[in-house]
Amino acid sequence: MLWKLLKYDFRSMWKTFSLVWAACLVLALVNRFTLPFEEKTNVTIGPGDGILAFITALVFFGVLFAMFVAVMIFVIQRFYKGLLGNEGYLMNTLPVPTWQLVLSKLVCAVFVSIASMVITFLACLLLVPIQWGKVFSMAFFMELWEGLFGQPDALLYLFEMCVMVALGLALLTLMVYLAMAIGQLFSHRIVMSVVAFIGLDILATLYLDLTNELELVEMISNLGQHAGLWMANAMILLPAAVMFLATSWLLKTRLNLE
Amino acid sequence: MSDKLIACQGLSKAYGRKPALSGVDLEVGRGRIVGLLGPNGSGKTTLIKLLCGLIQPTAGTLAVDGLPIGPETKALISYLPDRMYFASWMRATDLFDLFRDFYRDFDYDKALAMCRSLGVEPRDRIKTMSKGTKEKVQLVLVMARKAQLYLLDEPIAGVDPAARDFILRTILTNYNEEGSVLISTHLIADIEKVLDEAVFLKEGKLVLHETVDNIREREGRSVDALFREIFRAQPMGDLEGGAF
Repeated sequence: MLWKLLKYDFRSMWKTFSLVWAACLVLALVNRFTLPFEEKTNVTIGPGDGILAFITALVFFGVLFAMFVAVMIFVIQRFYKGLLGNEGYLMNTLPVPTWQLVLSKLVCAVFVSIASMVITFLACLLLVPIQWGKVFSMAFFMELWEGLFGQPDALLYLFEMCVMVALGLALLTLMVYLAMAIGQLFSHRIVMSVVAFIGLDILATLYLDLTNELELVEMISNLGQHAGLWMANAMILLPAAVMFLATSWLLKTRLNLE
Repeated sequence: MSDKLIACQGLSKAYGRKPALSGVDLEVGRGRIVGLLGPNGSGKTTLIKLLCGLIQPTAGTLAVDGLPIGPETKALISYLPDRMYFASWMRATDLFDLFRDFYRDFDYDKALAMCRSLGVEPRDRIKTMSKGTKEKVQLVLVMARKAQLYLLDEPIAGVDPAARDFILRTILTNYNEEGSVLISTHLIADIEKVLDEAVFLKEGKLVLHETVDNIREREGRSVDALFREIFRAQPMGDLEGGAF
């Protein structure tokens, strides 16, 4: 059933973001030809070109900003409207366990956040007319390239860092979800959700302080850098798992669609 | 499979300090059309939401087909809420796909046939549909299932008398006769003719659960007349306009 839920959550995401992502990439491409990059200095620039470049750049960065605002709104709204609002009358009466409803929303939220970062990166690549031949002949990139292939486990490091980013995003998303699951228990849902989020943020800070004091990552790092990275990942995973279980439990036993 | 589709004992629900249901004991068998009757605020919607698992009881026990409320009972129930639950980007066919994916008893072809007979274009986007058409789509979703228990919350509220007959006819010609239908309403005269049993709720308490034939035989009057009699003594603010 989880795959079926994911299918509908991803379809909803695609309806929302396909246009924004496309607009971002197209505007980056437009800016590539309107912005006066260094290589164009010998080209004659007309009096209107500066204004055009300014406007297209403004629109491009506006779309980038709008995309990240849309991601935040999407993450909050898909959970709040989808499970605690009117759409909740459909989703919460489907014959699926509550944890699958939460997991489906979570996977979709983490995916849309990472996809938006990737689109931003691609847009930057499209925006700047990079001559890849020159880039890779630069000393820094030559060293980086050699370093990457000199270290057989470089890709493993990259994978571990990606896992850390995904877990960090999941933790933040689950903090928002748990805050909303707590907020729905009260009559002033939104206010109480904000209060709950502030409380969870304080708890997260205390948890970070505690782990820093215990110096667990440093201790494990002595055994090897990979062990240290996986320890750090486990320390993000632990509160994320607690928040996931708490959110699922609240929606299963204390759901309140008044 | 249990003989009792619905079984509640001492079922209570309070919103904060305000009780919405108090100690309700109710059993509903199979193959019955049951009217859940009472004025606004009597606890009809609360009882239906408890059966669907959308809210949790404060006290008492509740079972559907002998099972506690959960994914297994949700698979047995076809629920028509008192509000629209669509996502605006969807088309009716998207909803049919969703129901086919999650409910084994959903009949896709029947849903399309019902759309045709109700004059609904299933490829239209939900957000472009009128309120009445959206209600029809929701009714199609509910009645195209061969469910064990249909929970219909105020299906005829807010529509004109001709549309009420139309909706009732759709329900009666499409429900699974091996299952039961629980219809909540305060418009008793319109549905009395189709009911097998009547459940009266008053201020969150069950005051009567009887077959319609028994009510007519024993009381010598219609369910509507008995309803008016029972709720006439209530303060004005608690009653629908027609009671006085």
